[in-house]
Amino acid sequence: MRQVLAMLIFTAAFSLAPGLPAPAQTEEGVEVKSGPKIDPESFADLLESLDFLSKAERFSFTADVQYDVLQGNGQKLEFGGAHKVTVVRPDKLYAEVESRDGTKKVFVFDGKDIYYADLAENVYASVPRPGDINQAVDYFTEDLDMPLPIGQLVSSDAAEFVKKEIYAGGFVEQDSIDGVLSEHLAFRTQNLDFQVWVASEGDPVQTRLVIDYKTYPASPQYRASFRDWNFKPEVEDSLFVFKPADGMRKIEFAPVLRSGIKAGEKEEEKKNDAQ
Amino acid sequence: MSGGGGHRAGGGNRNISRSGPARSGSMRSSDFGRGSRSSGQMGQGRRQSGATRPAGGADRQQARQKAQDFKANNPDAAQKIQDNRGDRQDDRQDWRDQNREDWQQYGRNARNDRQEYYDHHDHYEYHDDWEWGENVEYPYAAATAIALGTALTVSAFNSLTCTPTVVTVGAVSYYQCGPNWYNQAYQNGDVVYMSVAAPPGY
Repeated sequence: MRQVLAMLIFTAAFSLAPGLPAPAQTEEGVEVKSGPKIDPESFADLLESLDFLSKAERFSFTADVQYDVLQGNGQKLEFGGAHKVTVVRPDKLYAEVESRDGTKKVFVFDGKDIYYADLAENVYASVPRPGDINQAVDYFTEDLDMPLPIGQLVSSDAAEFVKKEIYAGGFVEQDSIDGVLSEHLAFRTQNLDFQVWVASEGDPVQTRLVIDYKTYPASPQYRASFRDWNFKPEVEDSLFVFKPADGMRKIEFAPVLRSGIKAGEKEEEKKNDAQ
Repeated sequence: MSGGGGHRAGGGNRNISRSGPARSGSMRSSDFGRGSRSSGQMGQGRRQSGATRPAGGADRQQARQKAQDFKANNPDAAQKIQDNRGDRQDDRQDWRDQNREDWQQYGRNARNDRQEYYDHHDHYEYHDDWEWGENVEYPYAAATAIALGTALTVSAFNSLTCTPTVVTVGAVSYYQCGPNWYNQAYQNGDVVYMSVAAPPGY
């Protein structure tokens, strides 16, 4: 009944004229974003899921990820892989990415430094970044310009994003995702549309996420299915201690290297000016 | 489709792009939109470092010059590229037409993103000659000096017509090819070769 009602609300909402979002409250008293184009119950489901994850002290999960890349000839190609992720808040994150082509990459954050290793190329880079997981993810994805597809999920500031950016959305249907009954929700922001499936029973974990990058040519998609959620994982401290394999070469992140090049060029200019 | 494996096993086609906005899985425009990146020194990344984006203005002229140098030094390879160009241009025109129609439906709010599209489009245009799935050459002659900070994909680096000399200084490996020195680095999740100053003593 809840879904039928929500569906009606959603259908009706999308046919209404746009308007400014207005605050609303769930039965639990949680203030959520609402408006002519936003179904408050669906928005509350989304927030509940994000809030649950942001408060989980430790957890692990596996994400089966696919994403589109538009080629120069106009064709979209799909790539993907499996991400095994372990989180110990506030400041430990381990992610192992095995791509479909067999290559493997490892991300480690130990609260002080970020390490990123490419086992196929036998190289790794590290950079100091003391702080919590949110800060590490932000630094890695924004300043170092590196992809961390599960970063949004493990970062506890995701709720702030959805509160700020979503202008429309609601309930679609109830689906079974890998055998888990899930609420299929769809939301829109100015830059992207996304669909999220949240487990209907038990812990409100995400079971699937689809993002449409609609402002890019051919609207490439990111798709991920989440499984093996474990909120009491047995985690050895050694998981977050990065040890380069024998013969592994240390390289830099491109922005760091480029920063060094610029500093060198400025130093050279100073020398020339002084002469 | 013969299922024989062969060269397909291990490595794949490195001329194929594996980077794009969807790879990040991020919802924050700063992670995939580039236009709203922070203005800090580290955050200037691709937008500010024209050397890595051979698109637009002087950079494109530079790219064209490099392509001409390459053709002059590699006439056979240049002819092979020319032979394949016609079909590709037709495909690209279709792609452009289709995209033009798609883009017309976006509103004023998408203007910045649309500019980003054209930036990308230029990027693709520069790579016009390396259609994925074919044997292609990279339009850098090994003897051409390139700007510091220029990033070459592993594929492009391996296409250089030289056998790189490897020098290790401290823990850092330098690769010399012609007048250029390179360090490996991570860019957008992949390993690239970035043009750097020669190591001390060289």
